[in-house]
Amino acid sequence: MYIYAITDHSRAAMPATPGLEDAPPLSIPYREIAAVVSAHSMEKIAPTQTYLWCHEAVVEALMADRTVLPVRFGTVVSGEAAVQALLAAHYDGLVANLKRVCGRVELGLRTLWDGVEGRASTPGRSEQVAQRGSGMDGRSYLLARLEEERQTQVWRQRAEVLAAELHGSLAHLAVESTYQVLMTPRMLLVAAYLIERDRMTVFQRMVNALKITHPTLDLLCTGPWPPYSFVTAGAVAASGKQREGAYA
Amino acid sequence: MPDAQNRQAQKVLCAPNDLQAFATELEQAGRVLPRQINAEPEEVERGLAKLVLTLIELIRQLLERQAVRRMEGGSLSDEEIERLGQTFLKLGARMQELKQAFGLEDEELNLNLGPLGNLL
Repeated sequence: MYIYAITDHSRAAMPATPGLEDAPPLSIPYREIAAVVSAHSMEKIAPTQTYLWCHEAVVEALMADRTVLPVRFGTVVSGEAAVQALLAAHYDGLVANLKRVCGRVELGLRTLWDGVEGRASTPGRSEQVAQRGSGMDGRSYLLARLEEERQTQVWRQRAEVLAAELHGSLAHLAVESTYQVLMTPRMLLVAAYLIERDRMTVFQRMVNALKITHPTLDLLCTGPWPPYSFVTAGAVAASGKQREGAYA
Repeated sequence: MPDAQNRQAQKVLCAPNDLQAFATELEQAGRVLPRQINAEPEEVERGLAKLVLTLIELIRQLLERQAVRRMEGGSLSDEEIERLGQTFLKLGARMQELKQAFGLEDEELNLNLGPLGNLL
């Protein structure tokens, strides 16, 4: 059985959105919660665009009328009994998570900057090694590394100050948030915000305002998403082990 | 895949005109995330070499940074600075040879160290 999400136990009908292999999603309840699953016949569930959007479509259809804890793509269990056992084993954590995300959605922000030019401009290590043949001495090598470290530190500090400023402008509109600075040299900020549904417009306005005040940055704001970034470890563990061959 | 494209468009709340740059950076970011080791016979040797060389590169960088800090702090003599620098140059050259022997690029040895950023 393929698991899409854990939800609060709702009497609403399952959405008509088909699951993987066009199988209808089913709800397996346990006390006040339920797991939404569908049968499948695949040996391996590859993370293709089709399957990923199929998974997402089911989760989002569920979001329309119930609180949802999205489960990682590719999570399968052996059958209904296994689902019930998982829900029972992690019941308290799942209930707590459902309470946390009730009425809320996730918005994502990614920011590109042009600060990569300020990064250490000394030759890369591979080039320095290549210069060995032309008689580079050990002292020169370490001095070049020292300068590289210094420039990198200054560059990183610039990035962190700017990322904190952007994030700070948005985080106060959210119930919870996470962020990472410099996932790549050009990706200044990757952040996720758990916000009340009715604050989406205000949030979007703030992002547009940041676009105007920071014209050299590229801002990409997306959502609303199910709260993937805000499900805590206990609930994730409850989502089932992946069968060998499923993708992480 | 029009339906998927429509869904993607509906999810974008604010974006620049060109999204390709984001796709490129996300692809690069994805390369440094832990992956399953490919256990296919013809790839397992390369996969293990990648793992071992990544670990060696991590240790090499840690030792280099420690040496640089000690040099900056003045706790190394001129002879020690020269000797350490030469050692790291030789280590670097040997790493290049090993990477070439296994057909690995620098980016393939990159590793996401969480709060510490990427290895390379």
